Amino acid sequence: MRVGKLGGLVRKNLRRNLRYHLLAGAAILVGVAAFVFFLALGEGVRERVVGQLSGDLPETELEVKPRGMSLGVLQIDRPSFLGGKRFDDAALKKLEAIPGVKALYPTMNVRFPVMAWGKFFGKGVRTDLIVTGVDERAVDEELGRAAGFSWKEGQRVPIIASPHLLELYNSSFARMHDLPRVTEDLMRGLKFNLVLGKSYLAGTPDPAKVKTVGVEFIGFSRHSILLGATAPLSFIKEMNRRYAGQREASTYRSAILVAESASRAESIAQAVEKLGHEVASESRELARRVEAAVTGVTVLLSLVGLAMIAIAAVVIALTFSLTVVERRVEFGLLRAVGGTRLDVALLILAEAAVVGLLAGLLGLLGGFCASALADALAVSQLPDFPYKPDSFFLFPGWLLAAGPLLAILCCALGALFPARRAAGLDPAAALTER
Amino acid sequence: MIEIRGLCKSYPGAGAVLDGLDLDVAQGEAIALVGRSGVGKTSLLNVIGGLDRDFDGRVAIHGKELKTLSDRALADFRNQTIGFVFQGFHLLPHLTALENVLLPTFFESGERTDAEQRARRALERVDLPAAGNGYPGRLSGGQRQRLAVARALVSGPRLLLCDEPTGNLDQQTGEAILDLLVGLRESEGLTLVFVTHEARVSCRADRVLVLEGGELTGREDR
Repeated sequence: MRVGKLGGLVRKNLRRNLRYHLLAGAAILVGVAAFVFFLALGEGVRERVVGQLSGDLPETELEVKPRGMSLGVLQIDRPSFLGGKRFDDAALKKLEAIPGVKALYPTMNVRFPVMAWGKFFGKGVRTDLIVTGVDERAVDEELGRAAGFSWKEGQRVPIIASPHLLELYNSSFARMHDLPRVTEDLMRGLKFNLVLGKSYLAGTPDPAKVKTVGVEFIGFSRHSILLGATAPLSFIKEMNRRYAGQREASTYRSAILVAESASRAESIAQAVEKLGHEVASESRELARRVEAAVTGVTVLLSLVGLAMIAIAAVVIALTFSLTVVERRVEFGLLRAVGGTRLDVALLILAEAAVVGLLAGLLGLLGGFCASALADALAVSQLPDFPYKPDSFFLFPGWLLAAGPLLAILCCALGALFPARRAAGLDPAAALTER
Repeated sequence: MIEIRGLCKSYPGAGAVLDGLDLDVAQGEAIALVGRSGVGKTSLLNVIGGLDRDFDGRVAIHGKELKTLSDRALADFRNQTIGFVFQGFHLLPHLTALENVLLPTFFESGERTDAEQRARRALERVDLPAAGNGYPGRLSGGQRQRLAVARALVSGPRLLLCDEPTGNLDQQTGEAILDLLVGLRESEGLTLVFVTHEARVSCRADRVLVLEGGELTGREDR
């Protein structure tokens, strides 16, 4: 049959069997709308939330830590009798010697109690604080040497924090404690004090050693720890030596390895594993975990959408089976006037495909509308949380094409059996209504 | 035009309805197949029309042996060579009269581009020139059968197979349809095969063949 004629006949046939096709189309529409909605939600959350979390370190940077062990929720360094290796200068030298490593920036934990006090928007604040040190060169590259991330005895200690902390503060902490939201510029230059050798949690091991140093916040850096503050490595090393001894002043928390190129990162990671350490990144791991959760939920919800489309395909199969019974004489006539079995089958499949296309496009529109509604509800009903996006949905091009195509495919599959049945009708029997 | 040798056709549970039937029909001839209900008249018509290939024997129409044709070739053959007129008209109610007439042209192979022109001419030939845009539901029984005749004519067939063409019509309308068919046969040189149990139909044929016991018996030449 000629394509143009087929189109005209399909249009007329669809109009005649509108009742059936509306029912079948509605089922497909709901299925496609749900499928598109859930996939767009997954894509949006992955892009806008996970993307933010995983954007900490570039692909050329690896954070290496001593191999740890897990005690329930607690992650600790592996003791030497269980194969744990001390992360000291010798270990760093071996890491730096790995082929493809361009630079190495060590980080170090503070090995004594620390608390912070100062004024924040006119309110006195006093709190325990987790402080780490990071090699000055890492921050110089990121914030520029002019930012002043270096320490000299007797001067204020420059401090940096993670950009995630700013987001966490603004979206949760500030709202909960009725504090104003802050910006990076507002925070830059904030001065407060660190009390070394004393904290609420660990107490004061040696009151004679308690000392107050002034610090100044100079900016946000991805090389800072997630919850806490980060100072120049030279300061932390010196304080560890004074408060905890030489051994603690030469035991590192981690090292950031900078690869010559992203393509070498994989081989460097393998060499790191061979040396008995592990590659880790808090934010990358967090992003990986969140992404896995998002992917899992997206897959699950998309399966719900797919199941709805599959049910719709069954509805299509049933409605087209009914129409085939009702249209026996018509199909017999088409054969009598020159149609082949294939022509009859193609007519049914084309009708199903058009129902699928229209329902798919409307389903896509439905998915759009539902996502806009969900975004509006999220803005008005959901509390702020870190990296809460303006829109939770993302409609990539492939998804815009996938909705209608899936609908067409399902309708065609649903109509396959009825089409075969119509094509296989004995025209003589159909015309004599035997 | 039609050459049938040793045609046997049976239905499961009903035995043989056609049993070694022989038939020759010349081009331009009009024959009437008569017989009791259920004797196999329509079955024979379906075999001749290539709608039923489940038979034994040799059936050649216009020199083509139907059993040897593929589904595509047989469909083309039906489209180009045979026109069907049914007792129940079998018009598609959701298509206009013109679209109903055009239906066979949808399946024409080749490059014929004058379909609408031919369809309008066919409507004129059955005296329904103004019915084109109307729907069959608005036409009288006689007009519907005329429309069905126009549809049968649109692709220029050589053979017109009519299954009880006046069965659903009153006597006057039936006569008019018969006049139309016989007139077409004379003007176009069509071969006509009527299946009927009405004497007024069979008397318009050149030959009346009685189907009985699966064979054509009691042949009557008018």
